[in-house]
Amino acid sequence: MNSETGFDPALYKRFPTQGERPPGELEALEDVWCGPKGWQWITAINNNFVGVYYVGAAMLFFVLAGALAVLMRTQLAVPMNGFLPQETYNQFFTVHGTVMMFLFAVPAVEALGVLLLPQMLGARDLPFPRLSAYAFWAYLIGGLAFFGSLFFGLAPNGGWFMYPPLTSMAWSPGINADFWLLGIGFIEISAIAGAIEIIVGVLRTRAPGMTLDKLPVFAWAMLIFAGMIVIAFPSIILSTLLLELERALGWPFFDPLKGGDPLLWQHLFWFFGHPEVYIIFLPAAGAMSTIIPAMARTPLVGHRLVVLAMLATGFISFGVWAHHMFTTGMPTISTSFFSAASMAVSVPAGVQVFAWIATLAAGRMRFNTPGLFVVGGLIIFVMGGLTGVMVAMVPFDWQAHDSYFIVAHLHYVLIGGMVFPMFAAIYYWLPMTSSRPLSERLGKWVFWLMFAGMHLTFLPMHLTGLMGMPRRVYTWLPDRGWEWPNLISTVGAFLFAAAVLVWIIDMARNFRPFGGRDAGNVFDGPGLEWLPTGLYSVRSIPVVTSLYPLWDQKRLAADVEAGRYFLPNTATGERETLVTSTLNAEPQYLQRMPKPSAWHVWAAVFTAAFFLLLTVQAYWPSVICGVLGVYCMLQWCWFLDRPLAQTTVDIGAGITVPTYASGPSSHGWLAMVITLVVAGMVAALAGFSYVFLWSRNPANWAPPPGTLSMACVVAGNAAAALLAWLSCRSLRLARPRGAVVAAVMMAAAAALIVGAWRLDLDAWWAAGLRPAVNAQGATVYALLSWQGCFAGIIALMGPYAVLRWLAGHVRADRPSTYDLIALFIVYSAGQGAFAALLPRLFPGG
Amino acid sequence: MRRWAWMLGGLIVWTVHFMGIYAIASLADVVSRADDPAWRMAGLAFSGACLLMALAIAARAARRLRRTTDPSTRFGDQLALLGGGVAAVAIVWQALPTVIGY
Repeated sequence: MNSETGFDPALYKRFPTQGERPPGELEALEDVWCGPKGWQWITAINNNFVGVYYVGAAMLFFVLAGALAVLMRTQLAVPMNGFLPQETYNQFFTVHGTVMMFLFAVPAVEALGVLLLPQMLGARDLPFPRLSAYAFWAYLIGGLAFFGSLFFGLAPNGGWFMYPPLTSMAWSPGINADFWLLGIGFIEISAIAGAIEIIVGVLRTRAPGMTLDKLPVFAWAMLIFAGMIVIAFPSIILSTLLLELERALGWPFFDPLKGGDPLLWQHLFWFFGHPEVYIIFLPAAGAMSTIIPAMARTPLVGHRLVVLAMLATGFISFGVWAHHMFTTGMPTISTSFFSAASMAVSVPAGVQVFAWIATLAAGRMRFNTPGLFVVGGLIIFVMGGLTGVMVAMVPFDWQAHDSYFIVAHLHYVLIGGMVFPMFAAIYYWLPMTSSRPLSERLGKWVFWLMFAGMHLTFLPMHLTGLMGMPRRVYTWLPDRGWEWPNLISTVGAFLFAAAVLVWIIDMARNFRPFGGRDAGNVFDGPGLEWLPTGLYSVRSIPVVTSLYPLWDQKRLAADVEAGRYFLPNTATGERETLVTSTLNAEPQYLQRMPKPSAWHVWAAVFTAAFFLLLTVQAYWPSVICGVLGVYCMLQWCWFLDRPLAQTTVDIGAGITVPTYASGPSSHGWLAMVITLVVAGMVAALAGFSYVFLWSRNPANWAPPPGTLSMACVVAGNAAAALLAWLSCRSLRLARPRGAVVAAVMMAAAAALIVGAWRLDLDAWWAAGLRPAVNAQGATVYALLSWQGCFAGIIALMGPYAVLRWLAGHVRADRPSTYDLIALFIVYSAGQGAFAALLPRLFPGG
Repeated sequence: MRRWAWMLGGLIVWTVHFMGIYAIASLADVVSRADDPAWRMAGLAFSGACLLMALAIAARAARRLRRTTDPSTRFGDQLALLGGGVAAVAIVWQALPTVIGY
């Protein structure tokens, strides 16, 4: 094998090591990775805890949103029903859709990743466990506050995609829509945090030898899923920001009277919204591709094709957003392009489906509960996929648009593509996490009730839709032939609810605090997650030589448990994990892992409070919570970047690696790059919004300010980037005054970014452009506001860099913090230049 | 990064293609008409260029596969070959509206 980092792959031959390990190693591991006691469970950061909390919270939201669905189906059971008032119904369907998409589907699969990936990859934990914990607490608090708005009549009521002008101030004057905009925007930040964790985790914490061809399909799926979040979610963050700015400050992005266009919302929303479907589907498909081989006791047929299909799905998902807009009057050639792209999606989806069927046929399938759920999910997903091809055809879509046919289609795709695989995953992997399998007898009841209930509910909806019943109506008139289909759908919804109830009973049985807990590898799963584990994950980190290590490496479990592989002890006496290279998973360095603390929990509480108080227009308390949130984050960051006294350690069999890394080879650098990609996507989409609104009304675009201001802004940003880079160079020179010079240059770079932004803002203001007057003003100030956010963060980073120098934390042997601040400043400088150049050069004076 | 770009090369070309033809149609709609013949021909030329690029990636990957035995390198080359092939088919499919579906 060719080496990627200079590591000699021949060293793998030293494993498994021979002989007994020294006594006390296992006890030391258990001591360092001990579980929380009492109230410490709130501050726990280990994935064994946070992953379970995360999955539990996602399933709680599934049950809550499902209860709303049952109430809605009760209302729609018979014509002219008065069970739910119209306004309540509107809030219910909005919250049902929103919670299912944003608080159940995405977090549930992300949670599954946090829970399973460390064990599946052979890592001690994911590389940023506090970030995972922060993301979880932010999501839980924000989600509960969002759902709680129902009990005060303040829940949003404009549908889960919140189209303006319905959601503009004129038609939705209360704060209901604001709950959606601020709540969902905030929750998406938590999803992005989780995605960064997953990308870095999959790329950098794999067991040695786990090259890309041996990477488990589920990990591939999670990697693609997280990459898609990074590209897609900025779009919903930007769109919610723009609509909130329009509602709160009157900036007319979507108001046609002032040059805005409601279609901008649709483009931005669906650029996120359609990939969202695949974001939900892909991890579930990864779970299917993992569970089916285990159940059929044979390797997945067409492994490489399945990986390629998942990658292709990820790419094409960004090319089909406008198929949700076929009825908006786009040019025929454009709709034809999107129609062709939408039909092309069925090819990669089909590859996966045929691979699953071939695996089922090639092996000896076990129809236990996980087996039933994967086969059931496959059937339902194929049915939903077929109606998907139907609605990809423009003439059919014109007929079916906004009818119950679409409701049936989307539920078939999402329930078959995500809910059934999720239940399969719960029944398959729970013995691994709780050391106790769920009941097979109850599980089969759950499956059959859910399978029957699902079809009874949604199959008739195809008919009601084709017979003309529009979606989102709170009642309907008799004598239209809709009576029977609607009644059957309601009966089906109750059956589905009964299935969920039986599942809750089964889960309660499973988590009882008494009885045996020694399930082991009950399904003979082939992945590393089925190795014997403790809170430290695996006892020693194995060398992986197969895609199905537990099937092909016969003594692996015993050798891992005996500590005969990498890191059989705590090499540094602290929490640590092995960081490996991106492609070939070659050992690179040992990462020091954080211990539990409360700062991330408080940060989540205050950030959630900031957004919640902002929504209810309690501005001063909101500001106070914002400041406290920032303080908690700074405290959290302050204790990072601490090198150990031991610069290198033995990680087993005489192989030594460093205990500190900085620059592009470090995991922190990768995380920062991904964060900046998110920011860059927001900036790029803000640029798209500017160009799009110009194309709607080019005659009303006023000339920009003079070129002098542009030159000064660009020069200021360039100088800031240069200084930030020089600061890092100076620190690395390890001269006596290197640290002070670096601190001064970093502070100067920060000041220049803030100054350049202020100069740009003043230039536009002096030119007479105002944000609330027309679309040009709104989009230009939106770009400036986004840059202003970065200037604000940098205004904190500058003094932070100086404070670290004053505290003696800036040294040549620990440059990581300065590297990351410099990277952030360089990006911000580029973004500042973009914000200055685009509105001045396009369309020009 | 280069290895990733190579493995995903075909899919990247596919993405560039569909984003490009959407952009060309939108630009045409602002300047004259979305289905203006000159703009359609520009779109077709763009599709042709992308097709050649996808085929080139697939051909190079096929050549490399014949020479390589290392499993992890082969995996990357196989992804590049399959990605290039899928992209070529998809580009032809998505270029059809330029000729027949407007």
